[in-house]
Amino acid sequence: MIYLNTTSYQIMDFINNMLFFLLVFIIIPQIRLKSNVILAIVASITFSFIDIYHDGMGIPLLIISYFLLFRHYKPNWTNRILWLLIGLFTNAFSQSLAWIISVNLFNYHNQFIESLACNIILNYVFALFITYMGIYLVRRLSQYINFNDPIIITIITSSMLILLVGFTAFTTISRILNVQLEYMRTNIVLTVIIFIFIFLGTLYYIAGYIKQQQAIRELEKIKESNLYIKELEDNYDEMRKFKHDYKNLLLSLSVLLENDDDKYAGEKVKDLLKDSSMDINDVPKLNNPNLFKIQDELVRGIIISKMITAKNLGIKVTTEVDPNIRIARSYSVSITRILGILFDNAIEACRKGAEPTLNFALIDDKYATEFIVNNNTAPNTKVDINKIFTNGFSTKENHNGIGLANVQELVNKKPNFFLNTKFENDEFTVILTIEKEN
Amino acid sequence: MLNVAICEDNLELIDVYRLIFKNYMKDHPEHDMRIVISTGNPTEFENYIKYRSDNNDMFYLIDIEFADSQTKGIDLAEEIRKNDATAKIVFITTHEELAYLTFKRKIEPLDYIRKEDGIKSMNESLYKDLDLTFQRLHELKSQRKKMFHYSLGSRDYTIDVSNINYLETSSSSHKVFLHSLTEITEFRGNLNSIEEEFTNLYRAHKSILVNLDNIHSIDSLNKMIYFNDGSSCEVSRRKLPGLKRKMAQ
Repeated sequence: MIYLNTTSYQIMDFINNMLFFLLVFIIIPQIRLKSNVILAIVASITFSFIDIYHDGMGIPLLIISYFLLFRHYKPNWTNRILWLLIGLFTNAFSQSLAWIISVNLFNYHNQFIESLACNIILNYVFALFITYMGIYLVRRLSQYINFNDPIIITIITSSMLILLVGFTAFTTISRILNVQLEYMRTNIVLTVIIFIFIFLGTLYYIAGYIKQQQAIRELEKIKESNLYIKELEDNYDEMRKFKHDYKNLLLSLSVLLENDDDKYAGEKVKDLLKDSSMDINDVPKLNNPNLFKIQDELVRGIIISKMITAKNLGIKVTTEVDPNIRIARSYSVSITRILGILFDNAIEACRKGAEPTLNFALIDDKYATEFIVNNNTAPNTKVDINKIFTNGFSTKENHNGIGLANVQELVNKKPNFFLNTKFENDEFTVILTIEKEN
Repeated sequence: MLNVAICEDNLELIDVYRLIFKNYMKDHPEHDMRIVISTGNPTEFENYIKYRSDNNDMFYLIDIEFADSQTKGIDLAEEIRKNDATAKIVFITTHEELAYLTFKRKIEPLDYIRKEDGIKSMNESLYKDLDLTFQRLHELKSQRKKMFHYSLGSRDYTIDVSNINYLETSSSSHKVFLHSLTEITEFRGNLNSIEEEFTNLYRAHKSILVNLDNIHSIDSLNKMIYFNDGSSCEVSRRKLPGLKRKMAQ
């Protein structure tokens, strides 16, 4: 152990304690209160005194005072522990790094003050650099990762804990063996390597977790749309029954009229009008039985649900579906995603016109299956067909605009998917042709 | 000579159509045309399609639904299309029966005539369709436009070469992307064989063939080609001088 006189040791300790609190305040802006700042200063001074007489006591006290900072702002305990771990680790790591550099630069015995100053300055520089880098990294990653998810927080916390324990263990062992300086360098290098491994491991783990969550959501969605489809099927059956009943009633009416029983017939008609709660004009126009016979739940689901969406938006919708369409299982997800985007785009585009129309056709023959999505646009709309595929361009402002580029990407992944996009006479048509494998 | 063939199960309507065609002939004595068959029986009509002996251009007027027959108008049209890609087909339909996109896709009809629009509108539509037919036949014979062909699935497609801006291949798949004035389409193929066939298509890049007739300008600095409609594509540095020479010719 290198000798430091008591006063300078105490000053160093105080400054290091202050750094810990500074880091905590940077990481958690919510606890930057006047009272907390005073608490931090007082605690730093007190602990630096205590540390002189009871080596090592400072750290547990520091931890206790850290938890005292959360008197007003009360986040999760996992979060509090995570921030504590980050603060402690950053502090300890930058301290070691600063120390090693200052020892190498200056001779401790001849240039004591310079060495100390260098140590302190580097310590702060490294710690702040690491912290701000970490914050920047988290901000960038938060586009992809939900850092509020308790499980993700737990994963990060536990990996942070492993890192800190490892680092502390190394330092302690080298201190006990009295070879701290020699091992410090190895320690730092090892810690950096371990950090990289743990960081990557954690990222992979989180990525896996996110995928799993997505899969669960997808499954739920499928369940929902299946329910919806069931309901529609029932609806359709009911409508058919209604049609049937209607014909029977008309038949009985015609019999009455043939018997010249005009009065009775008139009453019967009145009754009928009163009875029929169902307005014929209100019956959904999705009564294309072939639509319900598409053999793939996902594809069928997306077509029906988007058609209903379009209908509800007041768009005139027609569907033409060849009977008994079968879709290969391995294509169904791609097709569903492509159709989803195409329908969304078509719905957006045609709504700008006075008489929005959306037409869909599914044509199937021996060699290929064709999905056609066609919509009209407002008269004289200018669509640059060569630009709609590039990212960020869309005829609608503030629209996400990545739709068709995404479609093209999905199509490119399949060697037997072919896309045809046409804009002519104020009509926009996209045809997806899927060649069948022989 | 243009042959007109009519299939419609309502006999009174057949007379109406015949009259319209007769009037058109009277109004346009310069056009050589005749009605070769007009029937309400789809089977008879089908036989005519299958066994007709002459090579004349055809104009078909076909009803979509026949009350007493399983055969539908679209079946007849598909039968026609098997042997005759240029035959002009006009469907007669009521609003509900029309599967617009499917028909367009499978048959490429010239027009649809709606029964509920009334005789006067029918008359106008047929006059317009016949005008268009003669105009197209004339174009086809006089200039023999250079057409680009490709096939996909069960269909053959033709595109007027003068509408093409450029073709490109993607390195990952064996697909060719065709960029024309109104559409972008893709199909299986390779640029080498296309380049050989069409002299006005120039290889501006390892993976791009451009139509020299549609180029508006060349940006040598950024190595870009701009087309008349505002679209653009890349040109490789190696090919730039050759392209300029071609354009100067």
